[in-house]
Amino acid sequence: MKICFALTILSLVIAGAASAADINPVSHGLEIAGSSTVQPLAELVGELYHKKYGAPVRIKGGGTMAGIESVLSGAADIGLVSRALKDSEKAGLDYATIGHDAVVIIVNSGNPVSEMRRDQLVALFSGTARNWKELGGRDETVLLISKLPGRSTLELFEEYTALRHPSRAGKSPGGPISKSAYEIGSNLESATLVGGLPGAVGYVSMGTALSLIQEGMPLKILSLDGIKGTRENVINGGYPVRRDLNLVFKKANRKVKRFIGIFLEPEGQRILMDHGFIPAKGGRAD
Amino acid sequence: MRLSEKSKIVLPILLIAVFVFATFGLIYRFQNHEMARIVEAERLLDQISEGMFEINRTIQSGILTLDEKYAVQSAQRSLRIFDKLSALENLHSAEAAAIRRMYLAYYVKLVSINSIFLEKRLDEGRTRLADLDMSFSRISAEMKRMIDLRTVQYGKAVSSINVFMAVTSVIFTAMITLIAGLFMRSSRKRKEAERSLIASEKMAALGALSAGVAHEIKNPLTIILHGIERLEASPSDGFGRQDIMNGIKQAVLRADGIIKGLLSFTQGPASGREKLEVLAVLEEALRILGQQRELRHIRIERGCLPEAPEARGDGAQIRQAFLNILVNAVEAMPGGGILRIFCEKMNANSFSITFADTGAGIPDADIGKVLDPFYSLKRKTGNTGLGLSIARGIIEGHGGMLKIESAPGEGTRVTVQLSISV
Repeated sequence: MKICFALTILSLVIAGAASAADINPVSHGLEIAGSSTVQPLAELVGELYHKKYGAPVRIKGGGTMAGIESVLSGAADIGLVSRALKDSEKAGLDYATIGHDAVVIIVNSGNPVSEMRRDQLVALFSGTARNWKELGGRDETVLLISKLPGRSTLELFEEYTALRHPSRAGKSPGGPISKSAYEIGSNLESATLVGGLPGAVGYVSMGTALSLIQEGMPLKILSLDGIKGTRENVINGGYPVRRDLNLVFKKANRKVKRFIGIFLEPEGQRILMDHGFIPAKGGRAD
Repeated sequence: MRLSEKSKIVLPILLIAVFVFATFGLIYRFQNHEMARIVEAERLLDQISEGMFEINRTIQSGILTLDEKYAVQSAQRSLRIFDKLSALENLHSAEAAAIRRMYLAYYVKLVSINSIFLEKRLDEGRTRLADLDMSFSRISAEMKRMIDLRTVQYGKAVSSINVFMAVTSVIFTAMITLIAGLFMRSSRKRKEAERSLIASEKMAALGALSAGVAHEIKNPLTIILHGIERLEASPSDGFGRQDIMNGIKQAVLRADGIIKGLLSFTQGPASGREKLEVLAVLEEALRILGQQRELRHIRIERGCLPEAPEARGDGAQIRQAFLNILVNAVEAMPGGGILRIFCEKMNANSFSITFADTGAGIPDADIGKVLDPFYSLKRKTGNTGLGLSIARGIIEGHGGMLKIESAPGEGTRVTVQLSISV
């Protein structure tokens, strides 16, 4: 009887410990960090998770690299990554693609320019073209809004333009992004600056841009190389700067699986679509 | 260069007009341009400052609520600030550029901080919030300085315009005084000139009168002297003595006639002012004319209605005036002709009587002189040349008017205009 009691207690302790480990290896809730593009989606999915399972979800931004590093260091259960994983990253991390996005070029809604070629974009962000007149716009100084290192939006932009952040320009044949550019972190920040400064130009997540424009943000998405930045063009592969939205993790434990599960369920995919992103399943939420 | 009297008056008035227009133009420009610019700049600075406070509040509340809507509101408000800055650029480009630089740096900083809070990077956010507060204090202080500067500028502008208007008023008053002085001086000079002219004309008239009198009296005096000399040479009652005596008598009567005519001419306005039936006076004059002159070769046609108006005046003088005109007309037709007399009511207050003969008429060169005393085209017939002058004096003495029109070879029209008695 005593042995049975002791086993029962032990099993309970082990179960409790296992349960605690299941909830969070670091804390009692689910810790998430990473891309500002995915952050707003993760927050809404986190609310669904909390309602469904009762466990708290804590989400921080910081960018794609911050998400990867947080998971690798064990500071977070899930990393938000708004690009495809590199092979080196795939070696140490597992991932789930929850949707797709594109990086779009945005200007203030009052700017008469409505399309841009790659070479013009390079001329702007390398600092060669400093006035909108040079691109057929009005006489107004160009204000560049770029991104801080560690943001996948910057990486995609670098990949497309062959320009590099000044801190690593030596590695690029395309030269550096102009030092006069304001460097910011999140997509929202970028959109708020471009929306509030008449001569500004920036690059952000298409989903964020579409969602904010719908809310009244004075922005305009430029056609890039003659292709409009629409969800349809991203789905059909015509738009030149598209990317995957991933959740990365070291261990697919139950709470990670549950969280990813909600993201991939119709309700989660609806959140993606409502924010202007493309669902993981070929553009359909269910 | 000598300026005419007219120019002396017109030029200063034009100068005043230019001065007044220029003054009002300057005040208008000052009020609608300079002061309006200051007021507009102050208004824009106030709006920009208020806009910055609003954005600050919006983004601060965004930090608390972690709501993306703040971002949309912030961008919209920021664009409004840039609209105001563009308007300010047209007024004060340097200030607008300075504010634009400050605001740009502030907005970027503000948005960045908020983004940090949204990503829940709290420690980093708190550090940068302190920096932002300092930045906001600096920009607020600079905005306040610019607004205060506008207030001072406005005060100075008001003082300037007050001083300008005071100086303008003094100059305006001085110009008016100067012109009034010039006008009075000019008026005084003109009156003096008029008085001088009248005096010289009187002297000339007196001279002409004296010459006329001397000339007219000289002839009868010569006849009288010549007659007396002949009587002295043959005092006996011989042949021709009676003729000489008659000649002397005629000469004396002629001189008497000249002096009487002269007295009539020089006497003042009519003294009697009784009501006159003008047609009756005219008929009387015609009757006397019939007694004095042979009228068989003259046909007189009357065109006046019996109910012709009455005038007020001296009947004897008016009759004399009519008689002189009639005699003049009859003498103008020595070979016979027609004398038409007709009346016409000019208006409610006056009427006219016209005497039109069919005589030789008056040459154009003489028409202006026929009313001068002693001027006569019939000197050879013994006419004194006082008849029409006397008639004009009488008519004008009654407040009327005498007008002569003539065409050589066709005749002469003498029109007498008199006031109707009421």
